[in-house]
Amino acid sequence: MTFSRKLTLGILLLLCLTLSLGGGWTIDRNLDFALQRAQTQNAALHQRERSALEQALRTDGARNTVAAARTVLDYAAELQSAVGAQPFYFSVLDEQGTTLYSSLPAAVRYAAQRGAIAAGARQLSYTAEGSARYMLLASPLQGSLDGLWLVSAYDVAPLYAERDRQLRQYFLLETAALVLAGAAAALFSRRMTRPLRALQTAARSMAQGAYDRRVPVCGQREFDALGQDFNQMADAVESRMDALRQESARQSRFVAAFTHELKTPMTSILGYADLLRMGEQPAERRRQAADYIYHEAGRLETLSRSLLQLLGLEQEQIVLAPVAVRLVFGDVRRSLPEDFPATICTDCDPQAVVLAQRSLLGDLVRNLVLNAANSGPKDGAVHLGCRRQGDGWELTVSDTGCGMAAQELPRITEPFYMVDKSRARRAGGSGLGLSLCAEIARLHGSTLTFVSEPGRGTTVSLHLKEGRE
Amino acid sequence: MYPVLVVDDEAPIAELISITLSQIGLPCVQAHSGSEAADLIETRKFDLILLDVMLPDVDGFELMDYIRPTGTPVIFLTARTAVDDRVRGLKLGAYDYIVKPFAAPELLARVEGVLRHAGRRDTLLRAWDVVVDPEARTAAKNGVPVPLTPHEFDLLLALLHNRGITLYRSALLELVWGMDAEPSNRTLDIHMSRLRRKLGWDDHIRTVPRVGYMLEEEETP
Amino acid sequence: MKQSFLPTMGALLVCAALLGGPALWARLGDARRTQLVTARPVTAGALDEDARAIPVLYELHAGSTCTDPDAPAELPEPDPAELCAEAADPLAALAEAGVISDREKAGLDALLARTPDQYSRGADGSQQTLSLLWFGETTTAGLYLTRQAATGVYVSYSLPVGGDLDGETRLRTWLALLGMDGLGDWETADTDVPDTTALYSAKARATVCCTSGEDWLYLELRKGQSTF
Repeated sequence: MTFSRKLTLGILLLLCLTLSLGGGWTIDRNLDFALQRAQTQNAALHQRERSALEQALRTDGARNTVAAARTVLDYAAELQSAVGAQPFYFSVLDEQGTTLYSSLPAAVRYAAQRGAIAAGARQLSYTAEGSARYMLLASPLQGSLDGLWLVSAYDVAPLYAERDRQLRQYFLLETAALVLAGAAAALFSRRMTRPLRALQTAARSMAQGAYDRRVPVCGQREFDALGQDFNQMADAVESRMDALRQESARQSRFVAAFTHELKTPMTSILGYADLLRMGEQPAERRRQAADYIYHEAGRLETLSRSLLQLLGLEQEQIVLAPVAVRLVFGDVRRSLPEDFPATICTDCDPQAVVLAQRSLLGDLVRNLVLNAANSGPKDGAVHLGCRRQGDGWELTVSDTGCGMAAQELPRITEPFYMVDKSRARRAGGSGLGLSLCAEIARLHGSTLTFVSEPGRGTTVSLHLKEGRE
Repeated sequence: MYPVLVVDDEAPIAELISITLSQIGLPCVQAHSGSEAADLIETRKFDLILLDVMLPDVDGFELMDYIRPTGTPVIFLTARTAVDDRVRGLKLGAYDYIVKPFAAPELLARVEGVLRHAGRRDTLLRAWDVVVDPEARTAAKNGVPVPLTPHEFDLLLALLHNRGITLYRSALLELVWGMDAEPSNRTLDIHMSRLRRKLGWDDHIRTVPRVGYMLEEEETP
Repeated sequence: MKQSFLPTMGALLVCAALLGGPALWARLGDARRTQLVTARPVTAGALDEDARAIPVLYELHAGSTCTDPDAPAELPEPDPAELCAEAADPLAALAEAGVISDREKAGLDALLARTPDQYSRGADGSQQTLSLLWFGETTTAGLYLTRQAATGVYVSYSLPVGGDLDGETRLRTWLALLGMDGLGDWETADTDVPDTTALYSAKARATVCCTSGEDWLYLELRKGQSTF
């Protein structure tokens, strides 16, 4: 059941309960009060009648039942003629229960009269027959004749009739009130919950993938706060989704590039191997096949090695220690093959000591040096430099080779991205070299900066923190 | 009868394709870059173009637009398995595609299929007085049809595809009977002798002892 | 939809049922009311029922104070001996009840033995009076008794003896004699007059007072709250 409906029904039930209980109690109490007033009034009336009757009996000096009965009859007749139409209901009984006189209506049964007498002069009772309601008062008549009782009956049916009228009126009132309240509550709760429904719609559409849905402000403070929180959450979700999507796209690109880099040498290896095992090939073809297989396998080996290193680095946290830059440069120089095509020129501040991991930093520099050499520098040299920058040091590897176009620069550290494929292939490159360098730089808390101009050359720089001995 | 153009920046692969196709008598021309290929397309005519989509300088798909006016059928070579790449290529007008890495028989089947379909060449294989239709799987000597069992026909095809090469017995068994079957060597010899008899090629199918069989090449006059 | 339909209908049915609540409550109340026997409200100024039941009190209140114009003021000459005999009974009752002491009773007996010098009987409204006088050398002893005509109960005594008992004791014992002590709310009333004690009962709405001296005593039962 919707909240707004629950609210409406709850209000309605509560109102109904309150009105019914309150109304029922009030109307009942009203009747009780009316009866009490009637009691007081009737007690006084009864007293007067009693006195009048006693006086009449006294005056007549009735000494026996018959005489008394006559007296009472005379009295009643006199009363009738004096007062007129208004009925006085009373009866006079003696101790044995004989009725001397009675003007009581049939509704007041003999048993009720006896009951009233039994109740005594200090109490009063009621009797009901059908729709007739009477209040009975019985008192002993004092006088010369003992044992006479006066029983008066007063009609209280009008009070009950009034009460019934009140009930009917109240019923109509209550019904009208409930209908109005119900309508108002329904309307109001729908209005109140409109912001909630807006929120619900937004949440639902978000669940189905529309991450750009936001909730508008509606003016109610509580709902606005909720709406704002929802919007913030939606923002967070959207940006997270974007990030995930980008990540996923990046991974797809990586897998696609990797697959390609893998399949290409595999094609050669498989193809030539297949050729060789089919039949006796001519000697030249055999030699060439074996050569291709060997070289492509070598490519695969380089690829797997670089990839493992790259993946390994991504998981790693390295420990940085103070390292002298000139030592690193020395390591790199020694690691290069004898027939390295370019010469290494070093311009390093001897004081330079950085926070680094020696072997990784060496790998980084070595890769950059290899790239620089492959770019075909005009002066045949690769320049290594290290100088102060801020409170740290800047390492540079520069060449005067073929350079790179500006639009290439953002992508060069992507895995498997090669600016000049044919050149890289010839050099046995896998496209992972710069990715590795970028990862090593990241582990050192820094990034590589590339400045390049096609035809003029390239400079790669890296900022490292000062490493105190 | 024009040559086949093989465009792939990976020299070994281009060479491999070239070798395979020349076995069935299709001369090949290799191009190792998109620009090189464009030049060749401009100046020469080809019966078929095998095109690698991942060329360093030009997108293979872009090259398609260049090739289409010539009406030359194209088979794509791709390492990517993504469906949309393949569909894209086919939509651009390629006849077929081959996924790397590929096996020689697959390459031959595709090429033969496209050539036949495009009507560029007949893909009949000819050796001496015998004409073999790989599609119809028929062989005729001097115009007279020669009835051959399926295995015999496959053997004939294998020999024709590797003219002048001594095929290893194990290779022949694998090509004809498949990797899972385990026929005996006797089976191979029996089939080969029956083939020789039916075609009258006792001299042309040479037995290389302990190695295998070879179909001789015709001497070019 | 169906799931919310049932509770909604249920709630509405409960509301409809509750609408009949007041009527139901009223019916239940009626059953109670018609069986009710409850205390009657006390009418202001009415005599308490217990007091009313005592004839002397009823007669006290109901009796007329108007003199019957037709009745003779003084009745025909009574017989003095008869009157003395008539007076003896109430006095004996007083002595027996302890309202007067034996010594006082003896004094009265002595008086009654002599023939009164003056004697009469009278009627005063609903009351009858009896008066006896003895002249002495220095003093005159008088005996006045008043009683209710309807009940015959003596409501006032004026006696030429006294001094033996205190006022309150006399009054309390007199109340016991009259049978009115059962009412239980006879309280001492203020009298500014010395030698006078008065008890008032709210239920009876009557006062009994006693004025006594060395050798005289006056007891009276009066209607209402008297001031002295």
